[in-house]
Amino acid sequence: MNDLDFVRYSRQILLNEVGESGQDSLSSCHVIVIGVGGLGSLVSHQLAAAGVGRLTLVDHDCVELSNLPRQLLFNDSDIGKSKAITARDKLALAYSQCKIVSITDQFGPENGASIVNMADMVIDCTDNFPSRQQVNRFCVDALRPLVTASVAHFQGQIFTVDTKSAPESGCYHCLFPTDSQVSETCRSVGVLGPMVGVMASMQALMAINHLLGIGQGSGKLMRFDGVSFKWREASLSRDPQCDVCGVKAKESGYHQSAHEQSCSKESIHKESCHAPN
Amino acid sequence: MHLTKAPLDLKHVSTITVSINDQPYIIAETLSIEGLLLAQNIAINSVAVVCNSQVVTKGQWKEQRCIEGDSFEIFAVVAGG
Repeated sequence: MNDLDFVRYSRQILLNEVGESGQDSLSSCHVIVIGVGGLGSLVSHQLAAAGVGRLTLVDHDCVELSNLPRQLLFNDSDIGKSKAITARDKLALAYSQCKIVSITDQFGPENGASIVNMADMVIDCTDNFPSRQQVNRFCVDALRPLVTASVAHFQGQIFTVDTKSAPESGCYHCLFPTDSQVSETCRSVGVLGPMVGVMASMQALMAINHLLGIGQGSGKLMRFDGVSFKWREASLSRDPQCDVCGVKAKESGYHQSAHEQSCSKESIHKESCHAPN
Repeated sequence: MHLTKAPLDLKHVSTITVSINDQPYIIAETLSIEGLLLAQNIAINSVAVVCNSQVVTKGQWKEQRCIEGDSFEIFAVVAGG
């Protein structure tokens, strides 16, 4: 680490739980942020600023006027532009030590495995239930840790899925099976910017802690009520019959090896890595 | 999550008291978690359930019985981001 970086990250290095080795470790990590909206724009900003070495930002949406009260990375002049590319350009300018790649294709069956397999960690910041299920499936299959958070109205939910080191805690599908009815999205019930900020900061903190092995973040569902200002915590449970991480999934052969499903990492980079303007 | 008091005639039924989202409820002691949800007019596929700070996955709802003093948190998935 050079002297400037030592000064830049001095308040983090000062923490016994981080230190110079932890900061070096962050700089070698590759984190995938799926969804660069309310949560994703804030989480990617926090991770880039904290010294995570590589970020891949995945979002096929463009910036809209109604995004601006909570998606603080964007402004009026960004309306109509790709969120992933705009976020990449702004963060790359501010945090040159972070190598940032944008992917503007929709995350899904075509590219999910190859994207997730690149990562040391995946952060789910998507804004809809089907995408969350897909992200979970690819992370379980690739044994990649997933920090999933969501927010709508005055409610927030966050937990880490880590099938490799904490299989007994299950996965997203164990808690919310695919047939779950979803009534609360930001589009349908509204949300306040600071409510998104609370959950995004928790998500970034949970991600950094997990990357550095700080604390016991895995295995706990945390829910925040922004009206009563109460956090609630519960231990996660694995559903042995889960279609994604359970016995049935293994018996049905759903889990192929990560290598079998992975496309070439390089092809993704070549298609999506644009030099910041 | 809006809950309604169970429309049960509990005069001739042994009852227990549980809490649901911090509110006390008197219910029949034979209820499973699934029975509890149905008694509250909650659609089975609309919520997740925590009992005494432990997530109870949906596959256990038919078998797991409610017992006196159980503290339930019943909540919907939040999917926004």
